[in-house]
Amino acid sequence: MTTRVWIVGAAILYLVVTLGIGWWAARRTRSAKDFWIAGQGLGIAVTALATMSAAFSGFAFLGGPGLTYHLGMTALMICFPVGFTAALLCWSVGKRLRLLGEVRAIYTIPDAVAARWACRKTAGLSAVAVLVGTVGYLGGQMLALGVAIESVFGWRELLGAWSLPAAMAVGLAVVLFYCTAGGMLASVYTDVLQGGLMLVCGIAVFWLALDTTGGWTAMLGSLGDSAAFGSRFLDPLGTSPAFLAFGFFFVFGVGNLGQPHLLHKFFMLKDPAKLKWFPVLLSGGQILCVLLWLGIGLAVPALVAQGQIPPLAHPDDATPTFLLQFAPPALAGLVFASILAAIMSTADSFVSIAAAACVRDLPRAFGRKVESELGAGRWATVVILLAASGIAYGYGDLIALLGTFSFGTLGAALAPTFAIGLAWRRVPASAVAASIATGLVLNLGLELWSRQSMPGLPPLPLPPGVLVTAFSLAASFAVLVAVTLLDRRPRPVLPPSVAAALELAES
Amino acid sequence: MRSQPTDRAAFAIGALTLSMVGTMLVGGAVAASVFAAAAALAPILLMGLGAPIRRSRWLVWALALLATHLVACALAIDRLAGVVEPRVLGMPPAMAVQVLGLFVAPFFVSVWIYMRSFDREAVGPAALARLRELAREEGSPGAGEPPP
Repeated sequence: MTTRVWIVGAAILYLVVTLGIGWWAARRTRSAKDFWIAGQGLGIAVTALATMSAAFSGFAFLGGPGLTYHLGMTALMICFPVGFTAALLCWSVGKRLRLLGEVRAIYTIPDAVAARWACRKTAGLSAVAVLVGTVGYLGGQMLALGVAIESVFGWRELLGAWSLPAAMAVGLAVVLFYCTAGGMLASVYTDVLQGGLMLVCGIAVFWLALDTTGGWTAMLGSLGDSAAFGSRFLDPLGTSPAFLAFGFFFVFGVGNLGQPHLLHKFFMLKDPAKLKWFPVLLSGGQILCVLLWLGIGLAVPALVAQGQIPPLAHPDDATPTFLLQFAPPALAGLVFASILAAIMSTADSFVSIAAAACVRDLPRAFGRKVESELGAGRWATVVILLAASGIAYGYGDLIALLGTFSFGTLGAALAPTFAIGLAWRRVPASAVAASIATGLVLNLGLELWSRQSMPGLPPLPLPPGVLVTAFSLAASFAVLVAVTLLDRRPRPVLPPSVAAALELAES
Repeated sequence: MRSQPTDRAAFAIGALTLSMVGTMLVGGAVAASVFAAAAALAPILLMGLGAPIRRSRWLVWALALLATHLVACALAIDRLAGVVEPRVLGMPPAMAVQVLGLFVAPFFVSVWIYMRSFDREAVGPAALARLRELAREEGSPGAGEPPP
């Protein structure tokens, strides 16, 4: 059987199983609590696996190895923080968020802001940040899903200009069905399937990468000795400025604390005592997944150095080139299915969060309440998915841009609020609002500025290699602390239950 | 108001991130080195703020050690760059420092410290029942719902 048949077969099987999970979850979704936080009834393994698969988008499997081919070891500074981010997440925010969920009906990230600071405006501002970041991310994922589907099924030659819209429509229909019908319950259990696929592929592809290149030492030796790549490729800072390498480390190490699709998972855990096992499960799983990135990212340039394949025309071809030329057909099929899985698992988490921001968080910020959140949530899911996909198709460049820096926008806007604001009692609502506004405006503003070439507009006043997101994230932290120290007004007393929950989290 | 450990930790994070903003505006090799050290320290300080440091003094020392280790890695990387022979665990020395110092060691250290310091009893059924009782007394919407 040819590789193409295996790939198409695996993709069809994966999509059918995903639809089946959506149908199963729909029969178990009866309330808003089921729809938004999966009934707060998940076990630790399911929560950790779902968090892991939501954390990795298609970038980890396609863009990551391509970036490593392009930048060398510098690119791996993006994935190295997975070693400690799970413990950091639990320590800083996970236990606190989950225990707040014990004393308040918290289904969303802005709900948690409202519970901690009792300020509708601040909660509303956090909902705006969530909406801006998630819709951008979602559009990027839907576009990537369309590109992945048309590549898997080979529609480009068959359908020409209609290929991408048709592929996006198929992807949209599947995500739409299981997210609308089953809400977060469907999203979580499809995430578990997707996470399982990603784990298997990470291990298998890493082993194949070593086998193909002659082993770890031979692979690195051929890279170091090659004229095309050389010692700079294996240098931790590579050919990039130190600002870029450590900027990656900072943004992906600390920015995780503001990602709603990760924080949201803590509300779904049934037993907070089980959080003890969360870091080892999440980090362990992420490390295994990252093996695919590491394996292909180093193996493809090594294969070029060894003369087994010609240099790539485009770095993003690294993963497809390796799979189509060196992987057994069954494994190639599995990995392409897991690429679809990685994209869809991130998209489904974001669509639920964006829908919640529309029908729950923003109305509450204006003192309104939607009567039937379950029904409204389903409609909002449809509208948001259609809108994000439509905008992504119509304005591909813009949405790709939004998707690229949405992680940074969410991190810069929300990480200081949760990382510091939940642990430090002196933080007032004014500091939270200032920090969210700083992160949101700086990241969006500087990123757009850096991409403009209008006459008369000076270049961005940041040295080469400095990441706009790293700048915005650091500034947002500094503003939160500065405003907290400068605001001398007496702090409102926390309700006893909220204070007790936060205190308990420190034990 | 008397300074609390969380005040000091938060102030340190504020100073650190402010210095990062400064280095990113200034640029240059020295600023890049300061930025690298600060970027490695930032997650450690956040762990220190979020963890129960008041009850486990040993944790502070462990975190400080980890911080020193990371900064040393950041500095050592520059010294070791250029040696390409795979000498340490099949890797060139600089790459080995990067992989072990920024990836492998933080995983084991952070997970080990986290699990050692996690008090399951403190968030057990009795503590949760007390929390829900407090919430019920406040008439909190949605409070007091037992986990399904």
